[in-house]
Amino acid sequence: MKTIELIKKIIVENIDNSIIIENNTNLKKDFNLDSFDVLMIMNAIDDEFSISLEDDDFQEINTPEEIVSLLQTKYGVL
Amino acid sequence: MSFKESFAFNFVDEVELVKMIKFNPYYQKISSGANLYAEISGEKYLNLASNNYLALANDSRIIKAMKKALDKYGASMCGTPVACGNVDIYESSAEFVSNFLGLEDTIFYPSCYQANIAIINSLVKPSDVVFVDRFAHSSLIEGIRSTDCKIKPFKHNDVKYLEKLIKNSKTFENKFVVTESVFSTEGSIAPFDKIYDLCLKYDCVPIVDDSHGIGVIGKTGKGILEEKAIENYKGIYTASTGKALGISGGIVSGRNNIIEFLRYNSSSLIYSTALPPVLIAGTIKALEIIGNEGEKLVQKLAQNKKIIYEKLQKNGFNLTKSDASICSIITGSNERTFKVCKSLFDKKILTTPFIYPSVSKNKGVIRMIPRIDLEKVQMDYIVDSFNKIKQQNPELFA
Repeated sequence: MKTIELIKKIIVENIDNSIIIENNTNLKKDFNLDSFDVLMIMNAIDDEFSISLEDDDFQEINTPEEIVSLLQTKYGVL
Repeated sequence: MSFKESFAFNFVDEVELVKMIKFNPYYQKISSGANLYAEISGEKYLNLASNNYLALANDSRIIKAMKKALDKYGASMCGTPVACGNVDIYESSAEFVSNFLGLEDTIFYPSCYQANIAIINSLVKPSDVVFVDRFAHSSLIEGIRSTDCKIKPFKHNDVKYLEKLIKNSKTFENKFVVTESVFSTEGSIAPFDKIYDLCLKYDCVPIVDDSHGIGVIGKTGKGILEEKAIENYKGIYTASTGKALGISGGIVSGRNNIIEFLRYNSSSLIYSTALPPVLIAGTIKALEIIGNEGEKLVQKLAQNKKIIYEKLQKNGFNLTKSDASICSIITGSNERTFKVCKSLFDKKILTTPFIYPSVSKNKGVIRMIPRIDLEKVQMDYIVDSFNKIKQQNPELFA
């Protein structure tokens, strides 16, 4: 599975199985994510890719494609 | 921007809303006790906002016991428990509460909010992980955040999700699982028996806040441990005495070694003025009453909830799935939540509106406690009032 698809799957599984998200969906704005939602997504990404995201990594991140970009540039995820 | 202006800026949306609808649901000036009818500006309001589930806050037996303690001990010990506040009633009451719950030892805090922050702050280290229900009470979250530990929220009441998280968390020194028994905005009850089984299986320390469970759930009102038939509980139990017990304060119970550790390592306990003995005396009388009449009280409370809940549901209102004695109508946005609350207030019904951050954004609810002293006439009035509000303002419930 492509990284972007995996990220979208993680988000849906952790937030709400009924939501539909695109690569450029603004998660915080469109789904009113709170700090615990973000934490749950970050923890799941940590587990999936065996990395350890830093607390402020997601401060400026809004979309699945931005998450993938962060994982590729900062954590070397392919 | 001055401090005052920047502080107020955080509430600008709610302030505008309050101005628009000309109603502030918070800090209502009440001139009576937590009786069935609260007095506001000389008028009587049906009080469904108070957590006085069993009407014990106004029970003459409790008031008598408290007056007696007041005569004996005075208003306050004016000292911390560790210094000069550890009166005899503390020790006998700790034993009484422990026996009531089936646990080894108990300590009293000025409030359960303070207790939750204090125990987590004292027990959890930065090298630990805490798994916490994502809807857990603010006091639990504040306690967890004060420790610099790894925080792993789990989906609300989702045991499978929790187990997956625990399995993926092998590198931490200690593991804690934190939850409430009854989630007070919606009335769901945690599957705490299953959560406790996971704790035993994976060597996690469970912490459960039973503030809305004690006196309300379990066959005889003994709370979550009775409700879920958990015996010989090894974890930490906290509860407020300011809900169904009708008093004020917080209790923390558990195994001897943990409670003894907290006695000497919990700064909120050590540096706070001891809970006044009068409140301890009231708590004990409340527990005595529940111990003698619990089954009957719990049944009547559950019956009231069932009547209101089912009638509102039958009339097309959208309620949260509630297993406990709580009726919450889903209103969604802040605007709708405040407007429904105001409409009820206009009909002389006092309720509690919950908006973000007490609930998720746009998941507002109006909560009602179906207190034990409600009679048929009042319950009919509640349902009738909702129907009339919906008739006049269908958009509020669309």
